[in-house]
Amino acid sequence: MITEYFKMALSSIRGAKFRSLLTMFGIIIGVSSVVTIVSLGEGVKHQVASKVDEVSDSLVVIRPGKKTEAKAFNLDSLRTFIGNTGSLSEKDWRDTEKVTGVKSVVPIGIVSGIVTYDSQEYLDGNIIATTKDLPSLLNQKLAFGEFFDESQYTRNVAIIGVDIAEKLFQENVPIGKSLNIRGKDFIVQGVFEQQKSATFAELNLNNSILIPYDAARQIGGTIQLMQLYVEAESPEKISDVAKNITSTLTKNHAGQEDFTIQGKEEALKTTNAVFYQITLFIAGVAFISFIVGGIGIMNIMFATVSERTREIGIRKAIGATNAQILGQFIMESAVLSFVGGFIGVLFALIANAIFRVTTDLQPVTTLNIVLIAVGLSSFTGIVSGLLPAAKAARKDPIASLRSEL
Amino acid sequence: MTSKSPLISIEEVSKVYGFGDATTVALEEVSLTINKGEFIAIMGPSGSGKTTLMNIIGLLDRPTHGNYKLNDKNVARIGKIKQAKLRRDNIGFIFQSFNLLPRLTVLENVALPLAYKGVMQTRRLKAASNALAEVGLKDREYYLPSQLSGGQLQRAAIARALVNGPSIIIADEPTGNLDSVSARVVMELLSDIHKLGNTVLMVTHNPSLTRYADRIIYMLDGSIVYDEATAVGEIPKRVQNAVNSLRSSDEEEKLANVSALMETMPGPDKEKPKAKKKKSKKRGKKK
Repeated sequence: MITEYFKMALSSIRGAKFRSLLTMFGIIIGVSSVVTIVSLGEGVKHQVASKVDEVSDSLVVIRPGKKTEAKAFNLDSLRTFIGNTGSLSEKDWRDTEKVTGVKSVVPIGIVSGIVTYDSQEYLDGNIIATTKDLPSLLNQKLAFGEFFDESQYTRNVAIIGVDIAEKLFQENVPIGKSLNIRGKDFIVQGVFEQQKSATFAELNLNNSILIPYDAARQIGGTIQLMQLYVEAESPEKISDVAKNITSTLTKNHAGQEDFTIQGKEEALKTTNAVFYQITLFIAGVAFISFIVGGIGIMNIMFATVSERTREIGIRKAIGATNAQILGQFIMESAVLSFVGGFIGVLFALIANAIFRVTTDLQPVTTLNIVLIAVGLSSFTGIVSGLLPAAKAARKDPIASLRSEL
Repeated sequence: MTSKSPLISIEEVSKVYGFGDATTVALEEVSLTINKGEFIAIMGPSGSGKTTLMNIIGLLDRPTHGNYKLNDKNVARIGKIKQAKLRRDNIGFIFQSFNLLPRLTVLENVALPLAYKGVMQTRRLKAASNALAEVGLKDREYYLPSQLSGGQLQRAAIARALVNGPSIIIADEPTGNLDSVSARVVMELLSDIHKLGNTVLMVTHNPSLTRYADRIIYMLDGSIVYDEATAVGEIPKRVQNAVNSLRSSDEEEKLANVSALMETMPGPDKEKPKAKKKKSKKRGKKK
């Protein structure tokens, strides 16, 4: 009998195509937006995870400021974060190098100053003072030239990102050209490969000019240490190293832990927590759209039942029980919303394809979310079909037969 | 074929609508026994309780008082689910306005009662196809109702009524919306079905149709005032007189009777000229 109801439902939906489409619209929009957004989120999650994978397993990042747990979107947590901002000093860097289990430490210092080339100022990029191990630690390759080594620490050399090459020099390989920082010329000796997205190291290499730390000190100005990248001797020692660094730096900072130490795992945990928040938010929006869509379906089903009173009378006269009429109309509403959900998923897939082609985003649509979305929309259909179907089932056959067809 | 055990036995059945001052008595202690194989014509003016009686016999309605035995089972007080199932298995309805579902093909319409019985699709479509062949519509199986003429629609409706092998076929003015030639074909078909041993209960305003029946019941104000067995092919004078005397004020009805009486000439299933068809349709609507 179920297949029977299904066929009846399909034929009555086919009988009123345009109206059915309009009815489904709420569900279509709900499902397609939910699937799209979740796919985007899933895609970003994957991208972040793969980016994090690229960096060395032994990497630990020290940042100034105590990071609060990402719990919810509220201004209080933001204020706390700002209030807790601390700083890292060169002493911290040197002391960290001495901690047991640490292989090397790479500083990321923001150098104050304006870059000029050919008397043209470039204000968008960062000047970063660092040391030789940065590329290997972040697993970032150079497209052209070479990174500086220890012997060049005091020389005015620079490695630049692709965006700088294009925007400042307007060419791909500006090796050998010189740019000016605080009145000193720096010779470009390397260009990074395109960095796909910011790593958990939170450093945009595409838009950075990297110079040796010692050379940066020579040109004056301030160097603000934003991060210290610590490479442990082996990945297993990460947690021990983190503990040791914490105790060392806490001493340096007058007993206060105003810094954050993060390994790969924690970085992923943080991103996942953020995405969990976003997913919850989307679920809320989805819930509302399903309620609205469901009310739309209920409304139309009530209209359909009134309109098809005569049909109900005929069906009852030839032997349909109330339960069979109930089943028929519930099925109709369920099929309506199931088809709506299905179309919604198709729309979402199309939207995802467009995102893939036109942006850097790589949405990932999992089977789970598709099943959940379609299942939820069918469920919505069944629930919102209940009342109209009950109304249809309760109709008096004699009165129904008298009504207009 | 005509074993005389009562198929339907109704004892002092009453149907009352409304309460207090607004009470309307549609049926007043009606008793009636219908045997298997009878062709009964029920006549009477509008509001005489014909339709109410039919709805009760057809298990669409329940009597307020009294007993109703169908196949020796008391069905006057059964629940709605049982009622629907008994209706599905024992009653075949034929309506004045055909009542085929417009979105289903003729074949699907005819197969619908079997669908509610839970018969598998292939089997029920085959049964429906056979039923359609019996009413001469084998070549119209996949048409939609909107593509058929009135006579063809009513024949399809008869096939639908027959497909379940019902105990009784209830026809409510089966020719009311048809032109005279189609009406004749439909009546001949009903007559054939009767001859095959089926029990037919027909409500009609048209006294000429009583000629197909072997028993005439005349109703007035919720009671059976007249119940007589006649030979098939005969229109009892009393019926005609009664109808004519009651209906003498109704010019159009008179005309209908006259034209119906005139249509005794033999003829194949041909469409009549359009003008006549229109006229008969108009008449049907007024009723």
